[in-house]
Amino acid sequence: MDPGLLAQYLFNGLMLGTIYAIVAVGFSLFFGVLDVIKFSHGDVVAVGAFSAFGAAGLTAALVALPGPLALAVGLVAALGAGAVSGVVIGRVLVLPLKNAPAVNVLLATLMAGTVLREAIRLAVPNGGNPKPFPALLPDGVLAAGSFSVGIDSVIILVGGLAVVLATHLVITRTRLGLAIRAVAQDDEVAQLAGVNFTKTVLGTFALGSMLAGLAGLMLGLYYREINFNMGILLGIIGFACAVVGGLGSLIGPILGGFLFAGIQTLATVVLPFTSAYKDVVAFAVIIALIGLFPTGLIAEKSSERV
Amino acid sequence: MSAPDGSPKGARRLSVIGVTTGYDRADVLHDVSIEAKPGRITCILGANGAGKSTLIRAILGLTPVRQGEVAFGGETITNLATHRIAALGIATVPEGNRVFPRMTVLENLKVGGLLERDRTRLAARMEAMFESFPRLKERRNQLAGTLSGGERSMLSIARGLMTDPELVVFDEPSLGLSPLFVAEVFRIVRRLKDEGYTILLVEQNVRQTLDVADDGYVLAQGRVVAAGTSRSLAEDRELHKAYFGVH
Repeated sequence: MDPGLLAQYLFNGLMLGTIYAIVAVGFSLFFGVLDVIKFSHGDVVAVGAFSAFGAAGLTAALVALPGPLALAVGLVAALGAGAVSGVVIGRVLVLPLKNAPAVNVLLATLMAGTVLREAIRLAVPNGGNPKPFPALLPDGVLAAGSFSVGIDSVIILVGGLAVVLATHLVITRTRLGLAIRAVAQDDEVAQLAGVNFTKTVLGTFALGSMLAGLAGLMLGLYYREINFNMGILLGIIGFACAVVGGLGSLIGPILGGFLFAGIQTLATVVLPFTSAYKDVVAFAVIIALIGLFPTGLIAEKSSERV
Repeated sequence: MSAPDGSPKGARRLSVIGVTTGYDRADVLHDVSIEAKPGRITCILGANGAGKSTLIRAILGLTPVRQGEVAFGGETITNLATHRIAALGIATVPEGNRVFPRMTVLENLKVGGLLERDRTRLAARMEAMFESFPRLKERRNQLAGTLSGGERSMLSIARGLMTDPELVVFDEPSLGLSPLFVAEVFRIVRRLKDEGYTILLVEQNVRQTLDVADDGYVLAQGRVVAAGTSRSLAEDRELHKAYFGVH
């Protein structure tokens, strides 16, 4: 195959992998601190995308902002809306069910996700249809031989990788990160040492959900189109990446994200006629991997669980 | 191990006044009253299931108190959130010497230091811990889960002291330790008292505990069945026959 085209595929795979990893890390963080699966997480991605879409649209209607400022508005909206939905769901749904069976949390957040999804569909004018996402990033193409890539894609990829790295630093180097890891490893001892359990859990939900909101913005910028139900598939992919990588760890879901995107890309490259089935292939491989490594590729014992 | 800032420790008294509590519908403690006087070692003895752990959990806000009051320095702390009780100056060395296994020794101590925002004081305290427990300094970058039982118990104590407490609660520190380390833990308890900390020591190990403690209570079936100085408890033959088996 043409090396330029191959590079193109590789680039797209990396980009998707980054987005998946960002979503998967949230699942893993929530599971780490509270041993819960928060199934509304995928729909928070859509909330982030639509908040950025709405904020950018509204400000553009009012004032003509220069590019970087318009992007900043979208970024703040996506992160803010993500954090708020995460904290509200954590406070109102997840924490009160702390001592209930895990299935209850799963069900409650699954329904909360549906509420978010339907709220977007009904609140946004003509919300059932895909929306064109504004081009908030600079135009232009970088080309080398047959390999060409948009500057916007490069920015998204670099930004996404930076966010993954930043998340790792927050977890390993900050006071919040230390508290999160303490609660994840032994919440009672953490409280005895003075860690505020509720605040730490809600901080985790804010952090993970900000990442989801950001993933929504990245998807909008990349595909230039968003949809009220974009969170369903993304939520399942993110969850699958977290499980296959090792739920509760930090590196695991990141690896899982790149693995999933890698399989999708490989399916497209190797079997071009089946590219429409790339998700089917990827999920089949993930199912097989889960069967082979039931506790995730990064086994909890040896890895640094958050 | 003395406070780096030289402040006097253990000025406040812990009082448990008529506390009744339990799990679900069953009461495990009935009208229990105890006191831990400043600068002294108070022990709580009792067999398995006597309610010792439940009493500790009630004091620390981990099990809700149904009736009665817990007070520290005259301030009521009944059913306060656990982290706020810790912030008032009550550190706990939990049963089983629990540490954060997937954190390094250093990080474990840092969790104990999360309440302190002053970096210089935090660094001084960390230095003091490493001075008191040189083993921890040697192993500071090792994961706590890989430590030996004795080292874990040191780490658990040091993590508690990192919160700069007045009162240190030891929940069955000898559990699961070799006799050599049990002796070491009791030595540390005595040293802490000498440094001015108030100690509440919950134990099953009667002889060594009464040896080190100043005051004591005996719990049986969720009630206080004996109280006094540890000397008087040690000399009470009837008590030994009834609750500890004859020695």
